[in-house]
Amino acid sequence: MFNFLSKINPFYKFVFIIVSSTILTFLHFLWLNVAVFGICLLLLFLGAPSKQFLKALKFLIPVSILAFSLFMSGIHFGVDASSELGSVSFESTQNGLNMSTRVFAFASLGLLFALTTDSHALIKSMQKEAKLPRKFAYGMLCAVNLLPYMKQEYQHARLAFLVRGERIHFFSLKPIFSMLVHCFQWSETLSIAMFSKGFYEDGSI
Amino acid sequence: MSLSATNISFKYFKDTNTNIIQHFNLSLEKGKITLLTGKSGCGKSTLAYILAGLYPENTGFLESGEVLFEGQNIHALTPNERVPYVTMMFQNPDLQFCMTNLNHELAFCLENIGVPEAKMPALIQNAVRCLDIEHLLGRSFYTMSGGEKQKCALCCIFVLRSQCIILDEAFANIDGESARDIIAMLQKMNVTVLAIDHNISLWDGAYDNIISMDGSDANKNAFSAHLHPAGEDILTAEHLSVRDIHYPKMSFQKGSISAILGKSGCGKTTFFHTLIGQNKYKGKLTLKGQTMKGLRKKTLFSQCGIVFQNPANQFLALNVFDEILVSVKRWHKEKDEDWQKEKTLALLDLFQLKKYLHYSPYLLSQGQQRRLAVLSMIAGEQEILLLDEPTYGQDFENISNMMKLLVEKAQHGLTIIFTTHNEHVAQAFAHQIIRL
Repeated sequence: MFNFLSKINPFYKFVFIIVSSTILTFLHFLWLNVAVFGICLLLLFLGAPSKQFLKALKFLIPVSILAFSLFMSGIHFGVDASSELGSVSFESTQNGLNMSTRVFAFASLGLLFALTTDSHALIKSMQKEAKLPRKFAYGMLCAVNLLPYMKQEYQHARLAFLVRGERIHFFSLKPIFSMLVHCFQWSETLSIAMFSKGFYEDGSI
Repeated sequence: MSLSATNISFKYFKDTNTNIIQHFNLSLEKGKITLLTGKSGCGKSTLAYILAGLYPENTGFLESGEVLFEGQNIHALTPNERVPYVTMMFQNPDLQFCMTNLNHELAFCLENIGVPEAKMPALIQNAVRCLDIEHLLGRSFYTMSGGEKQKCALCCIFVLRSQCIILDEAFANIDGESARDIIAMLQKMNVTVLAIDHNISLWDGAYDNIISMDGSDANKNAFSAHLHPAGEDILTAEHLSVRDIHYPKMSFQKGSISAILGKSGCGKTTFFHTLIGQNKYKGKLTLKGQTMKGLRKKTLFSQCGIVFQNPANQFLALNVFDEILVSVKRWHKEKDEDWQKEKTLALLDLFQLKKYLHYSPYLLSQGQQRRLAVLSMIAGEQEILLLDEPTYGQDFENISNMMKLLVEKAQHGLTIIFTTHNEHVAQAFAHQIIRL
């Protein structure tokens, strides 16, 4: 299996995905949506490791649910809104299909990019090609790298509340607040650690 | 002379009258390892940040004094001009990297000092080979132990070619063996080192000078305590295994103090998290003769408290007073508010934290944070207390006071299990020592 997608310059890939998505936003053709979805899946199948392709299929499960709900909405509340509930016309079916396939098209474009691009490589190429300032580039990288720690921290915060006998529910905001306080502390510590390694906003690239 | 600081006075807030550091002088000899000790909260970490040029650039106000490296004022330089002279290694191994792996991190360091991209691979390979950590180069930091991360942090300093390294309790969360490995690496690098550490024994045979910031005796480690006989078994573990960690048979008696020792990653924290129902396990865990499988969380936490390894994970409130008041209110619901507040003040006084009542817990020093975390649990009435590394970052006096209070609590029936890397503490205060 080839792995050519991850070898494409991430910045060019990024621009391509943004331009494609923007064009897709203004065009309403069923066949175009299906073609974009098909091409993206084919590219993922041929140009990415099979692990990533399977991951994409997994992500498409919730996307399918969303697409189905949009399909139903399109049928009943779309073009012919005056028709009675339960009656399905050709136009409304086409409208429903159009809306649901758009979801698949946008999702597949996003997956094509996300599953074949390394965040580090993307930021570095943005720095080179788009002259992204170092401060933003490394700030973004730090934030991306902290994501797994944030998840861990949220679990720690929930545990801290439980251990101290504080009641928290699944949607409780208290642990999120604790986690955010910690993240705020982290951002300071991390920026100091970066300065200690000679990081300088206007430094060399 | 390598690095020298003269007449340093520093404070965090412009409006406060008291300085954290007052007219402090220090000079480090070139190529020597100097240890800096002092009571927790006396300003050691703050001094380290000033010496490394990170304060007051990032926070605080330098009232007087200057830091010179071979005649060059450190604070007049930009970060990339400064690193060849002096840099720093931090306590928290998780928060000193902005990349996902060592390879990228080393490239980031080299980019900062203006090394062309073409020359980077050779320099990176040379650094990891010299420090014998080639196997860590491509691994994600997220999967590394604390000791491995600190070795990576040192490797970054190596490629920056810093002539002076300041370590701010860099071994706080790692085992003795990893710490000694890093000390050996430092000796190999032949640089000037200033290390803040309460655990002097780790540095035996490696350090040249020792400086106490507040005049306290850094070599004290003769702990002593009178331990009373323990009661019947309250907690037992048989054939316990969590993921790929297999534990020996363990039993903990009511009113006893047990110390768990072992290398980082050997499963000390995992054992505690298993006891509080956070991990799936095989084998048998019994609490008061009953299996712990299926025990409700509420029941479990009313009997078993824990102090986390990272004290910041313990905090729920926005100030020190409220932090303890939360625990007092939970365990003494029947008492009136005045009583609860008085009790909170008394507890804070016991741990020398009364003067920080209105501080955010996160603004306390590492040692003070650990004391506050322990206190937030001691304020409860659980029967079992698990303490993950409660003594690190504490000076002799604070360890003594804290452990004596725990001994007193144990006399009243509290079963205490703590992990530590400090052999002296384990020998003096534990009924039994379990080595994993």
